[in-house]
Amino acid sequence: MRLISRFNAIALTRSQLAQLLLFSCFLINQVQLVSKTDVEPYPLPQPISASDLRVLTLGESAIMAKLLGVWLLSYDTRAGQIIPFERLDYDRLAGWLKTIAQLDELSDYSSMVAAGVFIDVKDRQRQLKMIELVRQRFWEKPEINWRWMAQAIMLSKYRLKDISLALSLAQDLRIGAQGKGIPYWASEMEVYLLHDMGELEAALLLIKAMIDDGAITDADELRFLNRRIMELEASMQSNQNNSSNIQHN
Amino acid sequence: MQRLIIAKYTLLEAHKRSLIVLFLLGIVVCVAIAAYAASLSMVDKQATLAAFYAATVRLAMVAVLNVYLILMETRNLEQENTFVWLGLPVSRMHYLLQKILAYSILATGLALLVSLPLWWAGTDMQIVLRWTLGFYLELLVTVSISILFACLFRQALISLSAFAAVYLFARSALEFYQHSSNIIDRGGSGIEIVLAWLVKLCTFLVPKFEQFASASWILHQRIFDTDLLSILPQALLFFGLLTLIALDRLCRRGF
Repeated sequence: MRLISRFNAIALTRSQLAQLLLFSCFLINQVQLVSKTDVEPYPLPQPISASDLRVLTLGESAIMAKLLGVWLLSYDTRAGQIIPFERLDYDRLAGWLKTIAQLDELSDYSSMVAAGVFIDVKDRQRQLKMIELVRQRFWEKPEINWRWMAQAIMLSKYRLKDISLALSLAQDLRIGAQGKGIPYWASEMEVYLLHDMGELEAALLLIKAMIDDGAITDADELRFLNRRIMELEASMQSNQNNSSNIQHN
Repeated sequence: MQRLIIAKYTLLEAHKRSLIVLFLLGIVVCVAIAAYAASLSMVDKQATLAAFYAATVRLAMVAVLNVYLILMETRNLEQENTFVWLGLPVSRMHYLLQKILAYSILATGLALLVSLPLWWAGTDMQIVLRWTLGFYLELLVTVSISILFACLFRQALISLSAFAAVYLFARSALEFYQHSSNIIDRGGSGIEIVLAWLVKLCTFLVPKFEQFASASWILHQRIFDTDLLSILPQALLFFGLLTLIALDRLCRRGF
């Protein structure tokens, strides 16, 4: 009897039952939507300029940059499925990354995700777009973005197998690094690339120019570079000897 | 102590209405939001947590304190409770100053309470102190704005709307200034230029809250773009002027 009276207490009226059914239909519909196997990616919206967004941030543009960063990074995940980056519009993506960089000028977040996350695609054009973005960001704030420029050099050389691109990035890194407190090894990457390309004379001239320039003041670094000059000169001499031996034979 | 009876009862009323519980609840919610945001961040999770907390708690606590103030003071003025208070041997100036004193004490406690999680999150002590001081000055200015609007409009909804409009505009005043300057330099249509000048003029009439405190100091562990000496006179000027105008309105009012 007590059970029946309890059941009566929670008995539903017709209108409540109709509402419950309607809500159940809505839930089933939602579950079906989520479990669809082929999820169409939402196109990335047109980027909004940083100056327009700043007005809405109530003076906390760095927080807005962080939120946009999280939103952009999670854009490839929709309805429990991961959409490949290849299906994202990289022009718009670059626009959003630029907006993030302008909203928080002290952060290297946009360069980091460009060189560390969004470059991870098979499409060469998209990879190049991300590398160009890193280059642009580097020229805007060299002291903040130099790490990702160094990363872009390595990726150009080993993943894209484009040593001329790597060399042009390394040249930019060397020129942009002057007087910015960037470690010497980063600005010397051009030397190593020239060495790898077999351009020993160019590498030698570059090291000598860097020393003569007076940009390198650290005694240990100068000693290291002088040793490198000697190694390069020895390599060049041995190359010369080998070629003259071949000619003689 | 008898002379400070209005301030004492204003604080007692805040205690009776569990305002402190509301502050604590707000802080807990802001910490939860910040923790969620930090969990999504790829780098600097600790700094992100502290920065998100600072940004959300600043907005939330200004809202809670000022909504409470406006609701209480408009109710007092609407229901003529002020008349009863003025039956005491205190002048209207004393009444208003004691009210401001009570809300300033609440603001002091709130600023200290809000700064504790920042300190706990491992933010540099100098940055926490500077942020807390900026936040406290912002609370003081907003208290004077709310008191003025409560005296001026005497209706909760209108006072709250006016406060929200002024506060949100003041939080983005520098950006509005920059935006309108760009429009003027670019040379838009006639109406655009008139509106831009109007907005630019309005930015001079509000305190620049963007300079008072910023979550980016906490995010980057460095204070920049602002100097305490530039915001202190600004805060004192607005606080003093708004209090004087509120006093003038209260003295002119017939009870």
